[in-house]
Amino acid sequence: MLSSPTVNRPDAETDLLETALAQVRRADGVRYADARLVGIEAESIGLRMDEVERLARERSHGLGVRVLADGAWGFAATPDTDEASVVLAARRALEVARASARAADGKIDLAEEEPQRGRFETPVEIDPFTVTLDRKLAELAAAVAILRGDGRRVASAEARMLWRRETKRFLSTEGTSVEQVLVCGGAGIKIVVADGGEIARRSWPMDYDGGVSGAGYETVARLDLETHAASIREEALELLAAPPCPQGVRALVLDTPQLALQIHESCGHPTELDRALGEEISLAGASFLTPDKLGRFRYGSPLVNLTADATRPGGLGTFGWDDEGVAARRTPLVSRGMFVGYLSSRETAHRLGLGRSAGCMRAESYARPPIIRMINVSLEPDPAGPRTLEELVADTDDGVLMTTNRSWSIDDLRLNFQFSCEAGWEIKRGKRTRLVKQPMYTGLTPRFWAGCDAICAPDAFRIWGFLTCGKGDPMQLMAVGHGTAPARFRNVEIGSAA
Amino acid sequence: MSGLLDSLAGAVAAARRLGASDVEVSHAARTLGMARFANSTITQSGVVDERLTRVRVAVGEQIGAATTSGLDAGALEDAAAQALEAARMSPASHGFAGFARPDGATTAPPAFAPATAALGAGERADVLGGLFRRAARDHLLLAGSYQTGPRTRAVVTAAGVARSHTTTEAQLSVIALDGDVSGYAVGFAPDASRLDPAGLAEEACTTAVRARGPIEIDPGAYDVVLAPAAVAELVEWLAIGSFSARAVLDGTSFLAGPPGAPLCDERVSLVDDSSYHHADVASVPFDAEGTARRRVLLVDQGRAGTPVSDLAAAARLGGPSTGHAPPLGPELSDGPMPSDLILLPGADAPADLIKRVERGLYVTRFHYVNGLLDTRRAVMTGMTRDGLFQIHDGAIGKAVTNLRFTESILDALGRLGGLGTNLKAIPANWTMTPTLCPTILLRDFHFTGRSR
Repeated sequence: MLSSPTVNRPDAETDLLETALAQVRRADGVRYADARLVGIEAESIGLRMDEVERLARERSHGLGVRVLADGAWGFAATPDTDEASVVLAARRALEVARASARAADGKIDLAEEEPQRGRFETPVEIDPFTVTLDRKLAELAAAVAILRGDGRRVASAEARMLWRRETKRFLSTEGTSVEQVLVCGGAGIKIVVADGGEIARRSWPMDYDGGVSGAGYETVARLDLETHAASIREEALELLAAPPCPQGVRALVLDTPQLALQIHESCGHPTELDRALGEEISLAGASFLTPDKLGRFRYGSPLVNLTADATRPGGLGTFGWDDEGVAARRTPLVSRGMFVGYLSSRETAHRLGLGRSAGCMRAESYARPPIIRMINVSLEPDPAGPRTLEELVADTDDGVLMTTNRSWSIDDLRLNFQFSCEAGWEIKRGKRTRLVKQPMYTGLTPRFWAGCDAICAPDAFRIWGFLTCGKGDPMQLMAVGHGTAPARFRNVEIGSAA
Repeated sequence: MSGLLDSLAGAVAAARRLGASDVEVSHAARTLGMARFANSTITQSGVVDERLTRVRVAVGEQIGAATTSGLDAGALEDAAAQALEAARMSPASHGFAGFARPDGATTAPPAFAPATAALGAGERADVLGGLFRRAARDHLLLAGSYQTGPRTRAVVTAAGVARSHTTTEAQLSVIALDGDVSGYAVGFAPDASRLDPAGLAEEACTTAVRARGPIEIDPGAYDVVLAPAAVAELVEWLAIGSFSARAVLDGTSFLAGPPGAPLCDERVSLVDDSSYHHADVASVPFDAEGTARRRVLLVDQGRAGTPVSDLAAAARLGGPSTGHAPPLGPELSDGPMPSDLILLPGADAPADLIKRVERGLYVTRFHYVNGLLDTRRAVMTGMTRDGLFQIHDGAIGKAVTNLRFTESILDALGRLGGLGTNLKAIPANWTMTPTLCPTILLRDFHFTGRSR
């Protein structure tokens, strides 16, 4: 069991944030400022074959201050939270803003938001930091033992677990004062098998990341690692002798582990308004969903409804307020196939005349300024759709079912993509037939989503998580959620990476 | 610096007092001054102090670790206690041979430029303002980022390692844009005075102007001249897929076959070498475990070389660590990873490589390459961006809209048409030190799709 988390002293922390804001509140040219105290406590465990490869705990704590002065942003951060360091950081942020104004257009303003007050905590059934290490190791070791089996042809069998608790206190010069305790974590397993020149890999739920959710240790029971260890071991061994996925234009059925990544890359990123406005072009790229297309562009078939929702329980993008104090909310991105909304901040929402922010400003840690990030970006299920993946397969005459991502690539406008998966099954006359190795598909985003002709019903919907979505320069890693049910796409170019 | 090493030594002593039989304390810190810009205006600017200290302890063969952002004695002692608590509950790690011991390695003094360490937000803004005005002359807008500041690494172990190293870094990336067309340039140096921001802006703007009015061509096999930034992205993915001892042990690396097996053209040699002298690179001569970095021949004249290792992987392989433990920070890799990648230069002037192409393409850089399709053959896919041009009869011609490639990079390097004499430092996505790459010519490179 981990020692008790750092005890927060709310009044002292609020005083510290007030001290930071007091340095800049009345300074000439200051339009707005906010300050965040962020503490992170984490535990990660990794088993590989019969070794504990990683057993680590992390604690970090620090302050970030953001100032909008003379029409430009300034940011400063420090891991030292004594009064002198906090004062210095706030003054630095103001200096940086004023200096940057020399090469800024000075047009920044913010969409109005009501000042917020309150506290949010991730609902947790079992606090993961109270579960003994023995129990965690035993759960992972049991899964690894099943993966290894008799050891023949097994090059690597791994299991991993991660838990994280983030405590944030936020104050702004507009009167917002909020506190949050966000908990997430989960587990995953992976096997690599080899036979002669052939090699195959399977993982569950999706090469570690996918099994992470905004919840407590109860997540592990839901993942059912032991049952899935047996099934992915069997599939990996079968893949050694499996034929490559045949090439052709066919129906593609995506199970949710892969569809979550498809949503992430081809819907989540292009609807980030900073990308659409060209502000991320130097590293991550831009977006084909330019502002002139808002409300006018057909993104997908009428079945396609995509939302950004930080209130959805269990997601890695679930919180009370974003990192500029905007309350969690739900924003439609694609409605009945039409592009209708962006992931936005107060600044970008104002610039586009959207009226309000979608509440998507998030920072990796105290040491990074918040930028527009995905929250929980989800493909809504179809109440009239097949109830299960197997019903969807049964409804498909000819196609390929793919699951669990192996590789991903998409262009800088988020149009042309290519994904390969760990496993695929040919579908013939409504039956899942032979296993095929290294299935791959490629397409153009609007054409792909226009071909979506079936989405499973709410019973098949589940929310997945990615821990390491990279964006920004220097890069920030962010945890984001994606809910989806299995879906089918027509006329997709399919092949094999083998 | 002795103050820092004293603090880390204090953590070692605290862990020993608490019962650790062996201890390693590793520290990473930097002060980052940054300005991001887009649409020829600064959009983000800041100064960030950040640091991380990891305490790893052994109790016999049981190992545990804890990290903290604090650097006072209390925070370090707490981290030591956390690490001990974890170690005592951990199963034995068989084969653990202890944390790093002094190895007598001597290193060149760090590349530290005081003016770069102290560069302020106003100086960055003034540089960028000048670049924005240059771009406006060609009716272009600039996007990019300008980062400067010092970076420190330090390690102390119970066995007597006590190393620290502080370098400075300056990095400027510039994209010049006119609607859908763009040009790119990037520079990296330990000393900001070596960056030549005006030259980088000129390069990006010239490329963008040339990229106006792109034509569409069909995907297919083309001879390609790859600029260093394009080469660096491929080299990084070779490293991610195959250059770690972990990937060799798993059998997923193309180095997992017999040593010396032919992989590609004999002119191709890839090394990881922190002692390689290049004025635009500031390497750290030891890894996060305190082991001195060794020169590793990853691909030796077209043949399979050896992978990089850390202490754990070296114990499994039965040799010494090459000094390539992953850096402190977000866990982005499984086990050891390269740090100072160099594709050794060849004998061809970059301009001559273009002259050798009758009909082909010039690639400024790639975007979102993924090298995990089949790591044993280094099959990768990715898109071109920021300047793709036809080459006709040995000269660069019209701009072309972006294409997707899907290709075994080992096979492509087997069709090497020439290797440049130039060696440019390209800031890396996945490693701490820039990758050094020349311009190269590859025959019959496979493009498989278009962006529209």
